[in-house]
Amino acid sequence: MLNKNFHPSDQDLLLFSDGELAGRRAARVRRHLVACWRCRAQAAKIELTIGQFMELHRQTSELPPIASPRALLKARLAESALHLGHDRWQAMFFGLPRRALAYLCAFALMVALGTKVLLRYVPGYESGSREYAGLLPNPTLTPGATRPIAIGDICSMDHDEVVLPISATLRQRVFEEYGMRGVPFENYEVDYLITPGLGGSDDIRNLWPEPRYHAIWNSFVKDRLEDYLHQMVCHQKLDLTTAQEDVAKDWISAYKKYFHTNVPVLIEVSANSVPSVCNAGSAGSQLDCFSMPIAAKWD
Amino acid sequence: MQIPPTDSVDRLSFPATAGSAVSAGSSEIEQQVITLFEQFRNSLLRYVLAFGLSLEDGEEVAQEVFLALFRHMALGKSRRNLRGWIFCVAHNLALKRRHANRRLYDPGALAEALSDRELDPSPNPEEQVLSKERQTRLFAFLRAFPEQDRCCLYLRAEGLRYREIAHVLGISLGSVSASLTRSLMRLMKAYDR
Repeated sequence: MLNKNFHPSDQDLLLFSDGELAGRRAARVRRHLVACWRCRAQAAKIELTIGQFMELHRQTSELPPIASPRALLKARLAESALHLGHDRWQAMFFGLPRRALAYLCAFALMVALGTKVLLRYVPGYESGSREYAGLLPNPTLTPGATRPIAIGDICSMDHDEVVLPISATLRQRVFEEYGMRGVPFENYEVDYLITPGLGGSDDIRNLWPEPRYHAIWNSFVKDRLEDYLHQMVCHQKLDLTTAQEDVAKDWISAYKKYFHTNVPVLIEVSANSVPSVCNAGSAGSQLDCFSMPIAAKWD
Repeated sequence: MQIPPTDSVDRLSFPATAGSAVSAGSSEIEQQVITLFEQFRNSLLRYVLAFGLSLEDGEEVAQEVFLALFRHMALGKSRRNLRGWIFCVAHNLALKRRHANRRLYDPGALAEALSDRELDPSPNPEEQVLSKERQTRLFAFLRAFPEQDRCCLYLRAEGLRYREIAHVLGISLGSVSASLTRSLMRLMKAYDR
């Protein structure tokens, strides 16, 4: 800005000198300096002051040689480079556009919430067997519980006679514990994880809502496993504790282990005989029966 | 690697190597940082010493600045106006270091250190004494400047343009201009005495 006497201000002179004035203003100052000795003298004084200051500043430029700091920096850079991979990963993540990051976070949140819901409301999801999510009890809620009993006591009766019905109140408590509200209860059987025929108790820790109508691994299949293990224990083909532990850990795996099959079968056997094993189709309509010397495998 | 010399650019912008820096090899970036260190170490050191830091602290700040620059470049961040970036980081680190040391800013210490040196090669002892007195007086004068004015002056002395100074100090272009004018007018008076 030119002052009231049409001379450039000191600030304009400095800006002009530093090449920081815009084109038209710079041209005006340049024209003025050509014509005005006073302003040229002032501009020269500014330049002189800059020169004197730089001379002073130069005195402080007598710094130690660069060789040693440069060598130190090289060593530190080499060390930093070792951590570069991690930083690069961070860069890839944090370098994403904010909107993409927001979508990623929202997606992660939804997955986390979904998992939480599954863990809370789907029986057996937490059992560690994702393949059979919903078919196995929640091990936290239903770890299995036994009662002290002698083998003679459980073997003096048939398995069906040992298993006592579960009261409606207890069934209701089990449903509540599993957070099952508004679901059709008739589709579930509140079942013993370790059946009383194998020494299981009616403690709530041994009870869980088992799906009745799952196409393959339903409560009827588990009943057959329980019958079979009861017979094996009573015929001293299997240790009671092992039977309890196998069922409590994962009854489907136990089924596969003791029936030597990956799909449920229909069995009309006793532990002393050669069983007739019938593969059940997924719909259960077509039965393919064959003989399998199970007893021989146990011996 | 192509790094233009300081004098050839107004607002220093270093071109990235082919592709992003993330994809560039770390050894290549290391070499670039070393080159920049060789180019700017003295300027940077002079600037941070103006905060009253000791030479050891100043060297350490310079090291930290270029280590930060390495990470900055390795993460593929912007390479535009790296000179401004370097001085900006140095400015902040110097302030932090000074605060950590709980030392008051003392340009007088620098003046005292300089007064022990042979500042003027003049053979005349009387002229040498006069020169030292003048330097001491000017340092004392600088000491009385507001910190922002002093920073503007030193940054300009290191070749930064007004826009870069404004970026480093976080002030407007007009403030930079006014600050430099004010400082020079004061210095002019001091030299006139």
